[in-house]
Amino acid sequence: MPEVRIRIPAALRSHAEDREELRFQAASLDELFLQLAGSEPLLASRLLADDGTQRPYVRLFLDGEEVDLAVEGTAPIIRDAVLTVVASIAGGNSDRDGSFSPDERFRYHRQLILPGFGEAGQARLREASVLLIGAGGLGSPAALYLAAAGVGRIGLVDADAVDLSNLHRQVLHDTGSLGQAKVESAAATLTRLNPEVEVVPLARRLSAENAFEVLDGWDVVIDGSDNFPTRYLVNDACVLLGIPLAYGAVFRYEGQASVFAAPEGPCYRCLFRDPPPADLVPGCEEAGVLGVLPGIIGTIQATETLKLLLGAGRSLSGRLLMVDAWSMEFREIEIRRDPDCPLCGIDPTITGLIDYEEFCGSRVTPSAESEAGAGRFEADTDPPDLLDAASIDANGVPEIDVEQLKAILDCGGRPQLVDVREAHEWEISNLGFAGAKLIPLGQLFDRLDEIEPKEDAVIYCRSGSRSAMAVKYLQAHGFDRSVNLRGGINDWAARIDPDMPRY
Amino acid sequence: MARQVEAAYPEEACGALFGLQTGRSMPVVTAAVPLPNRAPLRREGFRLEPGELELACRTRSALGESLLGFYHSHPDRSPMPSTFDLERAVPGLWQITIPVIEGRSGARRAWRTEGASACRR
Repeated sequence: MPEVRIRIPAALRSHAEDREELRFQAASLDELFLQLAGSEPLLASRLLADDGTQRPYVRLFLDGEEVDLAVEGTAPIIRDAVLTVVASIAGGNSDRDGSFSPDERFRYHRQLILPGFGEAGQARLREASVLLIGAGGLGSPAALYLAAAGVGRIGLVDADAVDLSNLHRQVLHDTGSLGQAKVESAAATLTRLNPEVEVVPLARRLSAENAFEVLDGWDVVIDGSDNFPTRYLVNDACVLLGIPLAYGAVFRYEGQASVFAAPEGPCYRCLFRDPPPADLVPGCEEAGVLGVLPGIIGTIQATETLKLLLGAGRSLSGRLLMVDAWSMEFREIEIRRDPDCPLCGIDPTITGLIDYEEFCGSRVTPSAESEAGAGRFEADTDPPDLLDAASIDANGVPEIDVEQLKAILDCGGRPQLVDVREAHEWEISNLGFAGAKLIPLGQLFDRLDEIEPKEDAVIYCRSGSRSAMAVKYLQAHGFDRSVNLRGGINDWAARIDPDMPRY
Repeated sequence: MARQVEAAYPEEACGALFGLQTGRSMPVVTAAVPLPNRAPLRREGFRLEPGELELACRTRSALGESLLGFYHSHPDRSPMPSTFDLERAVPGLWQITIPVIEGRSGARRAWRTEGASACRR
């Protein structure tokens, strides 16, 4: 008959004359406990209740595998084994004991049965809080999956309202929520999905002034922002507050994901110390994005967040995952914590939050000249000189606004108008009535001869970013009299021609 | 003990009680050893990690002390044992519950279960 050794935990040893181990010959657990009750009645009464069932604080492991007397009591023991008794010492303030209602167990059943998850993992999620910066393309899938998984508190920071052009990717919102604050629309969606989750809508723009207050106290932050100033701000605040950051970004068909500011791990600045020049980085608004791509990246961010909350699995910290949806390739590069990082390095120079708009070169302040220039336009006078009228933006690009262009045209001025958008955008709206010509940005290099270098030229696109790049390029090639149209054709549609569609 | 439970507020703090038990007389606690609260919901309960408890027991038994029981705090709640406390308490071992009201610890209570009923001291 096999020998079973019972290892007794410290909490119960006093009931077994301070012995750490007892030995019995038994062919099943039931038989073992019968013998135990005979020779060590006190210990047996601490392990089993009067009706013979396992006490709530007792857990049994037979050769390392957890066993339940009610289930495995009669199963044969065929060879020598060790039964380890663990006294699970617990209690609590609340009468809610960290257990789950039958509905909760059913809702989360498929993840409760996962190895390394279980009720302890589920309880950890219920206790956890996650803050999403942005309730847009990345925030949508991340928030949906985290709410579905039962994360207790989900905060959403977003100051925008739902726009029709958001809906091809921002799946938290739907056609019925157009015009609503994104955080409100998101809260409604998430609550419908899982009423157990507390959603905290924060309808505000994150800034250096409020970042500490907004981010402090959350377990994990998810960066779903769409611009560099916010990305650096979120990274810096997370490092300074010691909150792990699930990072994601998308551009056209490509995306990135990583985990920053985790203990020992790198931060965003270890990877990209300085932002790219503002005029080199069109946002999704300009460059476009495949709608499903933020779905892929956002769900990766949600996955990393769950692992951070559970303290399990292998984190993306220290690795940058790069996804190309067009070729469907996933690649990763190793990223290390940079000892010279100005933020998380050995001798940091950044110890507080800074002016991120200025840092990223994207602050656009209308200059005094621009105000003066605008005042000079009067109808029925000679058109003013284009360059005199123009103001200079933060990147040194001369620009005029749509009212100035309108005034020039009204005065009979006929500058060359160059539309650097794509053909399909031209079909939505254009300034063809004023002689505009379409030269998509990508063709500009080959079609320079179609623009007269020494004549006035106003370059426009949808909202002014691509055309600013074009003007910079043109000036470098001797087109001294070209200026950008600030706000692009959408601003023209908004302020000059209400019948023109905006997109 | 008071410092530990106040520092952990509003979460629960816990630990083990060691001391001398001679015959049938009341035991004398000689050491209250703080242990990490490993409960997933630390505001709602406490849980000891068996390995950490084991280690503490070995250390203290080398000093001739034995495990007498446990203590934990009740943030913003009376020191009366909760139903969960009673259900999970190991019969025969002492429990001390310490109320911490708005961050300040109050009068503690010692109790233990014998079979199904609790007795208070």
